[in-house]
Amino acid sequence: MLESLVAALSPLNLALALCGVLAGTVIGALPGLSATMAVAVLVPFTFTMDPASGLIALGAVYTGAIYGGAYAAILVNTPGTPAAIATAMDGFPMAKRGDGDLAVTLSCLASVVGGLVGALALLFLAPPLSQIALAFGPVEYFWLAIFGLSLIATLSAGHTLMGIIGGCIGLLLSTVGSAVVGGDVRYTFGQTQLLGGIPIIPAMIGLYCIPVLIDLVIRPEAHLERRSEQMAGFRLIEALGKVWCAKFNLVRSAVIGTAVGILPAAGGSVAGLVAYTEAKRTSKESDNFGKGATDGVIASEAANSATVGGGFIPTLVLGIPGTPPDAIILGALLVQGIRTGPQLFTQQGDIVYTFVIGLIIATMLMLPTGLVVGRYAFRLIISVPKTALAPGIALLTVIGSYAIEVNTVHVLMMVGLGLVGWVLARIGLQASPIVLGLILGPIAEAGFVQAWLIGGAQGNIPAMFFGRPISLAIIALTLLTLGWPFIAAWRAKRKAAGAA
Amino acid sequence: MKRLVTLAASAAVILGAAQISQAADYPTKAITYIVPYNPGGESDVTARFQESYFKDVAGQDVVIQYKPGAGGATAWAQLNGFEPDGYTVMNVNFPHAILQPSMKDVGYQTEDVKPAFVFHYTPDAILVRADSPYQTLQDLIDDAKANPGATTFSGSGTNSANHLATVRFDQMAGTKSTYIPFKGSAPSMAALLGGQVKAAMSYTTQGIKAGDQVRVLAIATEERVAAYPDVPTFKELGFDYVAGAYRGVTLPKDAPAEVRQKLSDIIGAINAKPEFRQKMEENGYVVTDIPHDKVDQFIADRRAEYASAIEALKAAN
Amino acid sequence: MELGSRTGDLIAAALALALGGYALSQTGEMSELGAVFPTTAAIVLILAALGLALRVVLRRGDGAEQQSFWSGLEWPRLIGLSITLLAWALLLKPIGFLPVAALGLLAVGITAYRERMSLKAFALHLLAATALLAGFYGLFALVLRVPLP
Repeated sequence: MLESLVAALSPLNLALALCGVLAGTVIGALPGLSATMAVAVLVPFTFTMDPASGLIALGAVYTGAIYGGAYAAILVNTPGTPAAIATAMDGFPMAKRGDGDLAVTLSCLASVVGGLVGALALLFLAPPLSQIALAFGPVEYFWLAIFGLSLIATLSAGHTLMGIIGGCIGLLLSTVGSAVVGGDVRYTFGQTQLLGGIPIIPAMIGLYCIPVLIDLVIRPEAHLERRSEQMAGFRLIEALGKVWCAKFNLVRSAVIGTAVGILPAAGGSVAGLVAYTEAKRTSKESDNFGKGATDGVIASEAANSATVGGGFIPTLVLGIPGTPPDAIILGALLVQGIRTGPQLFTQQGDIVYTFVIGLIIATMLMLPTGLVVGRYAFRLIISVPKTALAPGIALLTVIGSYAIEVNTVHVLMMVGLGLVGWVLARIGLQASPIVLGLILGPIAEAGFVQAWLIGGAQGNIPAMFFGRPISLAIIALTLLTLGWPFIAAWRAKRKAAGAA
Repeated sequence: MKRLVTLAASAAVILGAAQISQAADYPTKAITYIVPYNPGGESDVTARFQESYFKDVAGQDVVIQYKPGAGGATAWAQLNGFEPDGYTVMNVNFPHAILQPSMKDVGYQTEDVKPAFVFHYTPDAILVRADSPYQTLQDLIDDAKANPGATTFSGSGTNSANHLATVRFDQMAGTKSTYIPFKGSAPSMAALLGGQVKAAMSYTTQGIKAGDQVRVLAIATEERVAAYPDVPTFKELGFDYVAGAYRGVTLPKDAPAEVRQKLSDIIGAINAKPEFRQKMEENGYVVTDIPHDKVDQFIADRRAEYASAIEALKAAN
Repeated sequence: MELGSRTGDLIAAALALALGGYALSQTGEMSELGAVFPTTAAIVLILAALGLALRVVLRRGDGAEQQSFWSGLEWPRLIGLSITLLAWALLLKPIGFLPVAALGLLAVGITAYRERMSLKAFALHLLAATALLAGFYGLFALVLRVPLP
């Protein structure tokens, strides 16, 4: 491993790491552009590089973009990847009330810690952790997706019915197209473009960015209020203080992010949510969540940065991508002749170790680059007049939805869903439940049908669904999360009764 | 009037000549090669292999793009919407391109995506986990006969090569297995390795990728595969079964015949390169040379081969 | 408009009901297993819609309704922006990236226009727009070889 360390510190690789993180952060910070797109367009570049360097470049861009996505989430309420959804929930309210710079710095610090935890897990624990990922069969994925969906209900507390409706709309949207399991062609209205279903990233961009864009244009007031002290600094000391107070939350969220990120396909989107929900559940000021709680931003950002490292584990060891950008990086790996599999760490270990160490370096470089980019992003959003901001965002959303698969129909879908999304938001149906339903639907359904078929083959369907230890644990967790508000209220009543 | 006719005629000749010369010089710029699946799969890997030799043979670069969706159907349904100038080509898979339109209305017919050249196939192979109780194919068949429906095969997609192979296997061996579709070969293999299913109906390429973690029970080729000298073929075991997923390169059906011929020649030339063949074979791909004049026969043969299995699939739905 | 306002709830309930009903109606053509999820989602939608409607009915006496759905909307901008975005998406293929993007930028800028802009500011805007377009075009078409329409 020592040679890998030296290799990773070579000037070329260091430069790649730095440029990658910088480029990734800038791209991720632009609303409308996503981490997936950033990685997708940069892949061809890496073919001319040697495998380790190419991987470092892609990994750095990915890390930077996940992290830059926090800026778009905080300042413009438009998460760039599924992992950043929870950041917007508290980040944007913080920005609205004038604490945008604090949120930005907090997310920077939390991301660095989260990213390090994920990368370290990748470095030292990849093979054993991937065995755990293998133990997750269709049933476990089904329950995991149900758990994720149940989080929608928890997070829309107070407007639970609306959240449920939104989630179901997302679920229905996810069934559009040709089903993987069963081959049914559903809800396509005869359009061949819809056979593949509704693509997630354009849908996300549409549902989050377009309503923001519309509001930007039709509301006379400024997007974010200026406060004169804001331009001064990073509020770094303040942020450090908050992070220290939240250290338990921070580490726990990073671990959750890594652990959930290991699960292929489901990982990225669910990780941030689970961490956020846990933080909310255990916080003394849980009512603040959703209105600008710093702990929420910390939890979400630590978790989603941890999914970078965590998501590489199934990608490298099982050949199944952990998150959408991982799928693209996987393709690049194969072109470079890297064979995924547990033997990757033994046979081509030097490449992998150089890559992971490079990833760690990139994560650490996030601290300075993030703070600097964050400051400029913040200033930019505040000072640019709407007549320039609005067209800029519009252009970015078009590019962001087109470039991933080079498909103009995706742009149309993005706009269409966006306009509908704005109308829905006005009636009270927020974007997050719909997007979550869209992402988790296929996972839940595939898991369900596969589990049903396997259970049927074994002659015992109920045992399949309810008889396996990991799924039971997930079911218990789901019930706990759903029931917690009631338990907490009951406990509070008893306390009050006891004190009286 | 006469002048007008002459003018029109010369214009037609010039335009025609331009078309022909365009076709004659094909390719004069980079070609877009669309892979209708996610990166990392067999279609992608072989396209990448071809990419590295394309410049030598054709003098132009290839730009690979991905359009995944519906097991390939989304891309194939869009094939004939592209300019038929030969600068947009697509990967096409059989049996998928025959199965999908037979089972459902997927927006295209098999004739619409006729390939210019079919350049390889990945032989079907039955894989089990290394610690599985099945040592030979007969073990699996015995177990399947003793417990109908209990043998679970994981595979990639519905109405796909793996699915078809499972149905045909059942027909041949007289068993009743349960096919569990997954979203791609990687999750299907993960299910096998995680012990979720008893076996995987997959390809030699996946077996090679998984290395020591799996045991290959049988391979659907004429002769034993170099990478697996100890693994019997289905033929040796008494089943006349030589099949797999065939992949070819296709272009919009309105492309001029000249261009189609040229594309066929280019792919054929790449196939002829010994380094290319070696790379393919090391990884489990079996190179085939079916140029565009033999493609119609190829498709007809495949249709005949799959006919009874398709009936079985339709009946089951 | 505040979440929980009556008109909003009623519209949401109606929408959910309609969607659920439509989804259910289409499940007839699906295979057994394929119909499970759409059916479940549709049923939950319908139940939630009924629940919502019930809540609205039960809250009848509750205070004055807040902002109605339609207030505070600057219709010209809204319609202009929506048409611009739709046109942008639809015209990308036929007309091409650069011209459509240029028009789009202009159109969106117009919909966002509020205060008088000095000539200098206008020039800056144009400059920024050109730089942005040129930059992205160069980046994608030339450097990254992503074919723009």
